[in-house]
Amino acid sequence: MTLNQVNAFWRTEWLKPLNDPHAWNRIVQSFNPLWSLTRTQAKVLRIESECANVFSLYLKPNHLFKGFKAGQHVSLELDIDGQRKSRTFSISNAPQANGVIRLTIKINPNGWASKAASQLKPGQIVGISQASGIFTATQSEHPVLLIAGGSGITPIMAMLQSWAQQKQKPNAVLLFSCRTPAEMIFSKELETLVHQWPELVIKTHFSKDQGHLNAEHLANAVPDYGQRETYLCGPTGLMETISDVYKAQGLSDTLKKEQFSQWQFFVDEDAESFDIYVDAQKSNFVALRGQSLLEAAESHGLNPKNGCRRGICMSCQCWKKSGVVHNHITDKPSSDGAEWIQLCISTPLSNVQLDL
Amino acid sequence: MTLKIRLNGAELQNFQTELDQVRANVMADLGEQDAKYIRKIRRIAQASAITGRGLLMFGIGPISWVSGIIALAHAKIVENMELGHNVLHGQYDWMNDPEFNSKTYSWDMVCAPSDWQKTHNIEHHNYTNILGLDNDYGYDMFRLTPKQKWQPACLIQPFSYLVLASNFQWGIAIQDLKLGRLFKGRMSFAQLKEKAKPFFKKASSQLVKDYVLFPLLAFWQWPRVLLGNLIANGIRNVWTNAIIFCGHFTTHAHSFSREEARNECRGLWYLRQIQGSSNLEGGRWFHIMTGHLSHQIEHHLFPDMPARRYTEIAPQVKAICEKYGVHYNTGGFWKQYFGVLYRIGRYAFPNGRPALAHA
Repeated sequence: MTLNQVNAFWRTEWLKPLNDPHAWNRIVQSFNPLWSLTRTQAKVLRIESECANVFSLYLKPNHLFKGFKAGQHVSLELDIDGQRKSRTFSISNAPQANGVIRLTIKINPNGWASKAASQLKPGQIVGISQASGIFTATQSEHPVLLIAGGSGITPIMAMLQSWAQQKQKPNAVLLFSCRTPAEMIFSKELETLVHQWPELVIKTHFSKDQGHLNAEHLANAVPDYGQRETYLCGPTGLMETISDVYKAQGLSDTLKKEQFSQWQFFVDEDAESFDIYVDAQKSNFVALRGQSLLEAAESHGLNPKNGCRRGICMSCQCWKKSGVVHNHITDKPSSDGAEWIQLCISTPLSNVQLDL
Repeated sequence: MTLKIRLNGAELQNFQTELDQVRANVMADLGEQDAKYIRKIRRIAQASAITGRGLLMFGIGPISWVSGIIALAHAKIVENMELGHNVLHGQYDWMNDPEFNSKTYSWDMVCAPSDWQKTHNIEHHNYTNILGLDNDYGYDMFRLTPKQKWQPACLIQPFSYLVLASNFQWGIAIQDLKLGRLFKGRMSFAQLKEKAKPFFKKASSQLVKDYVLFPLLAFWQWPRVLLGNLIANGIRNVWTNAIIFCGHFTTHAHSFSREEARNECRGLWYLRQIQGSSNLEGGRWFHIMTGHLSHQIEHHLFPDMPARRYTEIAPQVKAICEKYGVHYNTGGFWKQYFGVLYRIGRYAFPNGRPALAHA
């Protein structure tokens, strides 16, 4: 018998409830809330302030967490007002022997996630996902350039830490752009890092005085940037500027990017129709503003499960991966992230990705 | 029976708006305490189940046997009513927690959740008490109003009621199979077999659990486990049946014809839900053990509202009903249940008035 067959045997319907992992979770969690048979969770160890509006969350994941590579991110699952929501954050330390991960988060005054994360208390349990992301530090002989803008330093800090621990350190330059010296995240930590790794060159750029980082600044600070493998992470404006510079010089292949704002959707007030992407069936369709997703799907020949068509029976509920919809029962727009929606009472406010 | 009333014009509009407002206030207030509550209920149900099964399997003597049965029946009732019924309504979908999601939850009884969601959430909650459309109205077994045609077969309904009540979970489980169609030749046996797949899967797993797996684990104590599980399931059946029948078949609960419900706006839909449902009065634990179906009126107005909130909105709903002269049907358990039993007995016999064939 293969391992899969053994697993399938233990999961068989006939053994319920003895093989119900959720029931066992509740039992083991009465001894230690961090334990779980199914859910990757982490315990909040402490919260430290880095600078104004930026804090670091130290988390100890349970045994289900499979580890990470420097530069990757995890999504943090928080219960906010009873509602489970998730948001992705970069891990800002290198993999540690004791398994502790650090997320460094800037408080966004308009966002719920960063605010809720800042209110976590030591000892609390949060859900986390496995680490993912391809913006990772590679082992190469090439010299490297790391360009960080503001809180874009977080994955880059993890890379620097992981290189600093190695014997064979790359020839590295960090170009760190922030608004003012006071808003420079990890300023102390970078000083300490230089003691450990004297060859590391750190260049700073303060955009309040010097203006946004541009091609000229880059050439002045790091004249040999064309010969370096470049890692770039920061706000959209900075990412675009630097990408354009590299593209213009045919250097796009040497540039690795991580964009934080990729999950943000901008609701277009004028557009009348939205694209609805359906993963499972590869049959995308178009829905108009004010048209329920159920009707739109049906008019395109799809046949999603549905029932009362007035929002009470929950038959047409489906998993929205991303996009904003208007819920006509609550009369409120949804969040832009992954959640369950009812197709019959939801009209699109942006392009939407569904798991029909 | 109280008079069935119908509202019109501005009065109907205001009635609808006021009820909408009651809902909006609660839904805006949903939060951590509702999430905590449902998790607590799940812990209670699990603790009762472990206690009950433990006492049945490893206990010695009749006292532990009886306590085991009571604890297991309690677990099944709380799980079926306050957890299963309400979670499968989607009342806790807003939590975004896969363990409380109406698409993934499964309960400790033989009915497949997907079948139940169809007969209950779509048919029963939409077409509440409309003769010919709401299959829950009499479950195709009982004649409960003079508007239904009397047949000699109706005479056995007091007896068939006893059979249904003690096996209620099976009644619910096969409801969506619509066996009547098979007998009338409107469905082939192959079609039925296909349709019954979720039922067979769910029912067999329940049977194995209660009558094979747990008895086996108790070794030589297997007879007390097997019998204990059978009785616990029976207690749950009788209890849920009584509560559910009190929801729509009490003395003053009205039924409706298809014509009455034609082109109904939300206000009239609300009105039908109120006049077709009836409440039970009791304490906090009574309400929890009924899954808050003791607030059947509130549940039928807002089936997707977390049920613990029904106690909170009941006075408001009652006040609105009084304002518009709508009878708010409520009473103690025995008073309401005797009303149900009376109707089952009374309409077993012809009523003398001409029956409306298509009412």
